[in-house]
Amino acid sequence: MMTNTICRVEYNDYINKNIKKMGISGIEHKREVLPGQFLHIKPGSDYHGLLLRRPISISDVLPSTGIMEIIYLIKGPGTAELSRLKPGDGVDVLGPLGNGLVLDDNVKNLLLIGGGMGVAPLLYAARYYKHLSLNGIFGWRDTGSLIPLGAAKDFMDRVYICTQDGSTGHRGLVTDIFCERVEDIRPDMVFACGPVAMLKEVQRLCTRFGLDSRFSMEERMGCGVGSCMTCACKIERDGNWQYERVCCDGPVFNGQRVVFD
Amino acid sequence: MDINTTVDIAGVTFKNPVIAASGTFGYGREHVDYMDLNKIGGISVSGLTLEPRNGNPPPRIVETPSGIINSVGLQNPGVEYFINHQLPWLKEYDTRIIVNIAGNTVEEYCQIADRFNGTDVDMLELNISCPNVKQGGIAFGTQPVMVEEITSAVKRYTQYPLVVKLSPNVGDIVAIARAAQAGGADALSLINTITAMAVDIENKRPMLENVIGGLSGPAIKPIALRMVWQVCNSVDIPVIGMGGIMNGRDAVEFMMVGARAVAVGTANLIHPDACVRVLKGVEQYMTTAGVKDIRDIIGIIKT
Ligand SMILES: Cc1cc2nc3c(=O)[nH]c(=O)nc-3n(C[C@H](O)[C@H](O)[C@H](O)COP(=O)(O)OP(=O)(O)OC[C@H]3O[C@@H](n4cnc5c(N)ncnc54)[C@H](O)[C@@H]3O)c2cc1C
Ligand SMILES: Cc1cc2nc3c(=O)[nH]c(=O)nc-3n(C[C@H](O)[C@H](O)[C@H](O)COP(=O)(O)O)c2cc1C
Ligand code: FES
Repeated sequence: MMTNTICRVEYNDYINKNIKKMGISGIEHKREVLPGQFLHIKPGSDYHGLLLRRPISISDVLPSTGIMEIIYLIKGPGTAELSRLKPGDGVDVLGPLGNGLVLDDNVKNLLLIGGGMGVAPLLYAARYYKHLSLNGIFGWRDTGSLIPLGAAKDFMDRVYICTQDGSTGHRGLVTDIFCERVEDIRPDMVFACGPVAMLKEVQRLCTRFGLDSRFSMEERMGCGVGSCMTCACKIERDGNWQYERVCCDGPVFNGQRVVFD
Repeated sequence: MDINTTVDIAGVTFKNPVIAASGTFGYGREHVDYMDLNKIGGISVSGLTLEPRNGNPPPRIVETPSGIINSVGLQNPGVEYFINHQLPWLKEYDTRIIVNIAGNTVEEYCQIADRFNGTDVDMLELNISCPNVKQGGIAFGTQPVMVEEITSAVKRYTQYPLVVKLSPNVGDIVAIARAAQAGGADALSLINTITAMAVDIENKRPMLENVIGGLSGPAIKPIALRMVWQVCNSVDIPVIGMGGIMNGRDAVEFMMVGARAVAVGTANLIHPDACVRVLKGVEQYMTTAGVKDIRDIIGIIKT
């Protein structure tokens, strides 16, 4: 039986203005952690303050220590609470949860496309799939919102970086670079995570280029384990659509099946 | 100290008074990795409708001070799927199965009730917070006349004890409770969620795509306690109390105002094993307070 264990914060440091990286030890898991899986973290105590857990993607699992890393934007009260945790503090973690990215053996060339905080889970995808031909296209609004790639950079053959204001890397959008580079990268699978507008465009381009894709989706969550039905995402099945659960049917879905309204 | 936690509701024996509330515990399966389903008194399964339902567009949940508002909109695979794919699995466990049903016409409720005859469940729970399409969409549970009508209609169709789940979004909860009793309800459960809304001022939008949802969690506990108290003092049938129960102490409060059993809802969204935690808390309270039989505290608060 799994329990949501009280785990230990090893470090919790700023990596950009409003973005922190936390290392957590003591998270029990029976199966190998897959890219796209997330931790459901309880901010504060049970009765006073916040109630719901916050879902945050696993951005790395350190091979030597088993420490799991998350990279999070301090957005509202929940993530602000997390940002106050210090090394040695306990933290109530449920997970790893969700269906991560599983690739067939015939996928040899993986392209990671990430926008904003959506880059976080792709960093672990880079480590996990480092044995493949691996390329990455990552974009942010500006230098102040970017996520340093850290170790993940060394796992990829080529990395393209862009910002909308041009303050770091190319000026423009990840989808501009995707269009420009798709011919020389020739991926046989795209794994993308980011804002809806970006995913929508990646989906359109994947259809145009005839590429298979997986998207890691986000939706507001309750339980994280599949019982409350709050985390609905529109998915196409047999010509119709249905609401599936991001927390346990996803967060990783076949990108071509995600229905954007 | 040996303690007795069994309670009886309309002839059905529960090994303890802790029940998982409808809509917050799925069909049980989602929680087996985290707790032993055999431990809890019962499970009220997620609301079922005659046909599968997609539910409302997301976002469907938002946190507010000490509570959450949800607008799931009864997404469920339909009665037939439940009976064929979820129920056989659930029946392997030694816990009471309460089937929570919803509809938009009296006929729909009756059809669902009829479909469950012979399926070996323990109780039927009528969610009457749904809009009655034949009455301009006002919720069944808001008018005593409609409550009595739907209760007596469903009662004629079911072989099981009938629990009517009251909506708190009414002027006079006692009148509604009495109407359900008059219609033949074997027990009552309350409260369902309180209609509510939250606003996102940055984007100048409602927080929920459906605009309105139902508030649950600790924020509603004082209201729920008041309603359970009032209802317990005005009907003769047993009451299952719920609304914001997060731990054993909360559960004991509901029992002291008269609830014979309690249901745990929102807490399941935070800890998948919340029901077991609540039960442990109740047992701990009994041991510390020297309560040998849980029935001794039911309705102990008198005026
Ligand atoms: C599968 C998944 C993976 C995620 N991975 C990351 C990550 O790696 N890094 C990161 O910074 N953020 C990530 N998010 C978003 C993160 O969960 C929200 O930013 C966070 O919950 C906001 O909480 P808050 O209290 O600080 O802000 P508020 O906006 O005040 O949050 C209020 C409520 O909304 C929920 N919420 C708000 N925004 C989101 C959102 N986008 N998705 C889901 N729930 C939300 C919160 O859980 C909370 O219940 C992820 C979300 C999902 C669903
Ligand atoms: C996400 C969610 C879904 C729910 N779905 C149902 C449902 O299908 N049928 C029902 O009768 N009540 C439903 N409820 C109401 C709960 O069963 C319970 O009455 C209410 O939440 C109050 O208890 P709580 O504060 O412990 O959550 C739902 C509540 C939540 C939070
Ligand atoms: S968050 Fe509860 S079902 Fe996904």
